[in-house]
Amino acid sequence: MAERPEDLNLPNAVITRIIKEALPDGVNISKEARSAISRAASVFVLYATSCANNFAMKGKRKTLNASDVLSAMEEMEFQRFITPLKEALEAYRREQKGKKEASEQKKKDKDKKPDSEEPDKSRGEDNDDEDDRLEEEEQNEEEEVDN
Amino acid sequence: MMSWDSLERQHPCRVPRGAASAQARVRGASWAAETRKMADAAVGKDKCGEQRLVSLPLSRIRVIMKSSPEVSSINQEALVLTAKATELFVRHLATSSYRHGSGRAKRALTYSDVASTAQEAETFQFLADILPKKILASKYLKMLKEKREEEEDQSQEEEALS
Repeated sequence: MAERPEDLNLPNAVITRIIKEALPDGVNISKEARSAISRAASVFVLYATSCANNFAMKGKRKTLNASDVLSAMEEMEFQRFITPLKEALEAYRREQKGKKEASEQKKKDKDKKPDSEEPDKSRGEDNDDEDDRLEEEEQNEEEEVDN
Repeated sequence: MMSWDSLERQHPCRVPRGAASAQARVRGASWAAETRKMADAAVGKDKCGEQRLVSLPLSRIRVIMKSSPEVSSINQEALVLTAKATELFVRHLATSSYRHGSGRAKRALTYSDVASTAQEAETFQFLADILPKKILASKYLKMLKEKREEEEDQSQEEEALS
């Protein structure tokens, strides 16, 4: 059997939880049903990505952005997702802004006190992710975002 | 020292009730802790126990997105939105499948509920190929036979006309 370098499946535990939350209490979900929905979700990601990419290419951009994804939802006739997605986007941007301000504040505090001890530097990995996101967010601000 | 397990096995009725329930309690406590951890992971609670915006892992979503050949790069916001949209989609497909056909409350969601929805609802048509309805093998063979007979009749007709 050939080894697949990439697993295109989503984690069962998370899928199951999302399904359970959507259905009334006590409803059983057969293993086959869960597997079917999980596969459908992967196909959904592919379809949405392809659709969003068309919008990016139309805008002569190489990077998929938030508005591309929103346009894709419209195109795929999942308009019901658009409002909750916009809300999620707002919440995400607020969160990112908060993190950015917090780390800038930390820097300021550090500069003020050169003798102070190193602040809690746990979660080094998360800091890297944050930096990546900050970089991308700055790029994003330059591009036009349709809301 | 003999373990409680082996004791139970040998003398199932004789293990004092207190010991068995204490053991069960200890097992229960660590089991509960494990379940909580898994539940937290599933809910997407990070180390602080705060609820994340999306529960599906972004890294996996990114892998699926990147498997698409024409895609070069994905900005973080697009990734987060796609993950969130997928979550909304799972809910939507689950509830639509559950309600499909019958209006009454059912006790279980089965594969055929999902397959029927994929085949019949317009929104989910793009799933039709990956979620076929299940039929009995005998029925399928019968369908094949009928199709072949139909094609034979058609070609005979064409011959007659030429």
